[in-house]
Amino acid sequence: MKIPITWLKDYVETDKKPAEIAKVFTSLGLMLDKPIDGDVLDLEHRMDRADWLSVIGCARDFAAFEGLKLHEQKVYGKPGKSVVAKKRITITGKTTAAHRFNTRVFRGVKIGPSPKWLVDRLEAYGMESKNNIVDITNYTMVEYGQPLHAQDIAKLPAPEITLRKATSGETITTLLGTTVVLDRETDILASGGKPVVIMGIVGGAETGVTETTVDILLDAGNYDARVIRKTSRRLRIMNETVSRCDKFLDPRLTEVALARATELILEIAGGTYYENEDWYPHPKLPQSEVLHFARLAQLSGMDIPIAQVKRTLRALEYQIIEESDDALTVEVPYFRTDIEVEDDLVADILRIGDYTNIPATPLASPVPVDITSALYRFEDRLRDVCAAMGCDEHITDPLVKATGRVGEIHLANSLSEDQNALRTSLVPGLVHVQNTYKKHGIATPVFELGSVYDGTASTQSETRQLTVVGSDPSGYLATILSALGIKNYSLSSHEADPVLVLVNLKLVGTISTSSFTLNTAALIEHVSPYQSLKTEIAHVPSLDISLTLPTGTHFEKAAKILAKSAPKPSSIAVIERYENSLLVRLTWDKQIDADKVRLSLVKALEAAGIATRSK
Amino acid sequence: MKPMQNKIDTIKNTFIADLVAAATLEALEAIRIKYLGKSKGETTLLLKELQSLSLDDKKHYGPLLNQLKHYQESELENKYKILNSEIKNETDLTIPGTPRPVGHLHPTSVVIREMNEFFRYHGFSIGEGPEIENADYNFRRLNLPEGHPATDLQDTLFIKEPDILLRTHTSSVETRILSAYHDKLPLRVVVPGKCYRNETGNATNNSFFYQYQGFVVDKGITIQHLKDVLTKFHQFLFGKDVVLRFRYKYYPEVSPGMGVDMQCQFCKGVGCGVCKYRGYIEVLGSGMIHYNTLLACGIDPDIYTGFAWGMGLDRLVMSKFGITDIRKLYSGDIVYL
Repeated sequence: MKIPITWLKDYVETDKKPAEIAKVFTSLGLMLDKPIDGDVLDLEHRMDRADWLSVIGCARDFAAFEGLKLHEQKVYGKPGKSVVAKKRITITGKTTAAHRFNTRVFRGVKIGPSPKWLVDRLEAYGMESKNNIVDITNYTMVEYGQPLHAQDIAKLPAPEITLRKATSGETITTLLGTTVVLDRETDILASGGKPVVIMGIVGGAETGVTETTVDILLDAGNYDARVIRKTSRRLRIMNETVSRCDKFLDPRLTEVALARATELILEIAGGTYYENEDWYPHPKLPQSEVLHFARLAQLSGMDIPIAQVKRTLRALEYQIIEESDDALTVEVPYFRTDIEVEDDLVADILRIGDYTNIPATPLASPVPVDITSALYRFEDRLRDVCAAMGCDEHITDPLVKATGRVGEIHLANSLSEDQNALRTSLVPGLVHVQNTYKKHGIATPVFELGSVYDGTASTQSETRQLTVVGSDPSGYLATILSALGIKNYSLSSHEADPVLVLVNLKLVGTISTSSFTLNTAALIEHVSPYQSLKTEIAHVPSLDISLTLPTGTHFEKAAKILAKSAPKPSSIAVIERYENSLLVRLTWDKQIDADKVRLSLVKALEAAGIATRSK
Repeated sequence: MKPMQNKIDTIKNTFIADLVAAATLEALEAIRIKYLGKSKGETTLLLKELQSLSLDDKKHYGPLLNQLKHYQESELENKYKILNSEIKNETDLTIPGTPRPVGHLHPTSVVIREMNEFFRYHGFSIGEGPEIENADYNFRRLNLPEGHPATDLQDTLFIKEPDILLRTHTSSVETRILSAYHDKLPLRVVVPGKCYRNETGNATNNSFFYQYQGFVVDKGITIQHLKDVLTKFHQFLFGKDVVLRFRYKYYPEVSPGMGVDMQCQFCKGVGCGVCKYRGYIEVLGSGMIHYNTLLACGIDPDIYTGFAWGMGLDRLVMSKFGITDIRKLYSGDIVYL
C-alpha cells in the first residue's frame, strides 16, 4: 500500500520525517516494501487488514500509536432527493457472490478536470488523473478502501442493473480496451441483458464516464472475496479494485464511501443527488468481543493498566459497551474484518504499546520429554560415517523433470517443465554432482540423505534413503555397514537389476556398478548403537579359501555355499581379488576342525563348478 | 615373588628404559653388551644362573629366559634399523605434508546441526513430518480457511488440487505434532526441513527451500518467553552484539504475531543495498500460537498457551558460506575446498 505523506497529513498532524513515519508503520505491522521514494511510503500489506488498503486506515493506526487525534473527513450526511419511479435504476441481485450493491444517482454533473489538490494526491499515489468523476471514485477508494464505480446512465442499455452469472460466450470490452470472453463462473453486472461490468474486477468501456456524461449511476458493491479472488486469477486481471475486493471488506463500508464521494461530487462536479436502490438482502450485524484482563496477562505476561487498554481500544475505534472488574465488552469497528478472537484485541493492545516495550523472560518451566526420533539421530550418524569415509554430502532438488516412470508423482500446477515431478531416486541428482566434480578434476564420491517419493499406491508415500555415488560402491557399502556394526550382509542378484542388499535376510537397499542406496528406516533395525570393540588378544579361528568363479557365476552362489558350512561361520569376507579369483576368509566364534571344514567346503564348491585352491 | 622372577622383571624394565634413551649406534652397542654381553651381560648371567636351579624351576624359567633373550635381540635389531636409517637418511620434517582426503557435510546440514545444538541445550526435541501434506495440516489447522487472502502469501505446489500438496512451510509439522501430542504436553520442538513454493527459481528464491520451525506449548507461556528464546538464539548465531527489532506482524497461524529483524551488519542500521535501505533485515516470523490452531489440534487454548516461529534457512546458510545464488546450493554446483 502506497502512502503519500501529504495525503497522510490530511488526517494526522505530524512533523516526523518520512523515515521516522516509516519506522512507526513498521512497528505497527506495515513494513516498508521498497526504499522510501521522496514523499511516498510503499508499505508491505499482509493480507489480513482490509482497512490497511486505505490511507485513512493506516492513518488511524498511526494516530493511535503516536497518541495523536485522527481528523475526520467531511461526508455528505443529508439524504438524496426522492426520485420518480420511472427514473429509478432498478437493481436485481441474482448471484450469491454479491452481498450488497449500494447505488446513488447524480444528474446534471459537469465533467471536467479535477482540482489540483485531488490530482496531486492521486499522482503521488501513482494514479493518472482522468476526469473529476473518475478521479473522485479513485480518490475515495484509496482514502477509505472501498472500490466505487460510476457509469453513464445515458449509455446503460436499460434503466436497470442485474447482478448475475455470465452466460458462456458473452463478451465485454473493458475500460482498458481488452475484450474478455466470459464463462458461467464469472459474475457480472448486466443491463438490458448485456454485460456492462465484470463484478468487483473491472468496468466495461461501453458505459464508462466521458466528457459528454451528464447523469451517472454511482455504485459501491460488496462481494464474496473468495469468488473475486478466484475469478480475477482466472481472468488474469489485477488492479486496485481487485486488490481490495478480494479482501474481507465490510458491507457497511459502502455507506461511508458513498457519503464521502457524494460530498466530493457535489462540491467538484455539481449536479443533484437522488436516492436509488441499496440492494442488501442480509444486513450484517455488529460484532462484539470480550477482552478478559486475565487473558491479556496470560499472553503478554504483563500487567497493563486498564486505562491504557481502554485508551488504545478507543483510539482504534472500538466501542466499549460493557465494563466489569475482569473484562471489557467491545463492539468491533465495522472496518476491522480481521478480528476473529479475543487474542486479536491483545495483539492490538501490544502493537499500539510497541513490541519494543515487551520484556524478555527466560523459559522457566521444566524441560519436556524428548520426542526426537531414533531415525533422525541415525541419519545424522550416517552423515558422519559417510564423511569419515571421505564422501561429500550434497542436497539436490527433489523437484525433477517427469520421466514417465511408473509410480512417479506429478505436480498439478508446476510453473516449470523441468520441475514437474518428484524424484523417485537420489541417483540422478548425485550423478549430476559427480559430473560437476569431474569438471573440477575431483573424484571424491558423493552422498545424499533425503526422501524419494512414490505414487503407485492410492496414497503417496515418502521413503528416506541414503545414496552414495562414486567408484567402488561395494567397498564403501562394506565400510559403512562395518562401521554400523553389521557383520553379516549379503548381496543378492535375484536375477533382478540392481543387486539387492540384505541384512539378516531383510532387504535394506540396492547396489549398482556406480552407486548404492540404503533405506534408512529399514537399516536402523540392524544397527548396533556402538562400534564393536575388542579388548583381549584372542585367536580367531579362520580359514582362507581361494576360489575361481567360472564366467557367468556370481559370488552370491559361492557365498550361499560358504554360509551353509558347519559350524556356521560368523563372517565371510573377500580379502583379495584378482579378476575372477577371490581369496575368501571365513571366521568362526568357536574352534573348528579346519581340515574337515575345508574338505567339505571344497567338495561343495567344486560340485557347484567353482574351482578352489587350498592354501 | 621368587628372586629369579624378580630379576627377570627388573631386567625387562631397565632394558626398555635404556633402549628408549639410546640415541646413537654406540649407545645401542653399549646396551647390547650390558644385557647380552658374552661374559658379563645381565641376561647372559641369568641364563648361567639357571644351571644352579632345581629341575622344576629350570622347566619354568628356562623358556622365560629364552623369551627374554630373543625379545632383547629383536628389539635391539629394530632400534638398530631405525638409528641406522636416520643417520643415512634424516627425515626432513620441514617439508609440508599432503592433506588426506576427507568428506564434507553440506552447508545446510552444518547450519542445521549448529542450530539443533543450541536448541537441544535449551530442552527442545527435533521433530519431523511428511513433505507431501494435505490442506488440513498445511492450512486449515493453521487458521487458514479456504480462499483466505493470506493463502496468497504462499503459492502452493499441488499434487492433487485442492487437497494434496507439497508443504509450503514447516508449520505443517507443528500442527501434526501438536495433534499427535495434544494429550502429552508440554512440548518444545524444532523442525528443520524442506518446503516448496510454486515460484520460478532465481538467485534468491527457489521452488524448494529449507525452513527452521520451532514451537513451545506449556502452561504459562507468554510472548516474553518467545522474545527471550529468539534473542538468545540470535546471540548464539551472530554474537552477543546482535541488535534485534521486534515488531507486530500478521501471520494467520499466530495471534499476536511478531516479526523479528536484525540490524544490518554491513551498515549498522544506517541503510544500504544489502538491507534494501531498511537498516534491518527480516530474519523470521513468529507469534503466540493462534487460539484456533491449538483448538484445531485438540488442545485447550485457555489452559495451554504457546509460541512458534519459522525462518528461512537458506539465506543464512548462503551468508555464512559466502554463496550468492541459492540455486548453486542445491544443484550440486558447489565443490568443497
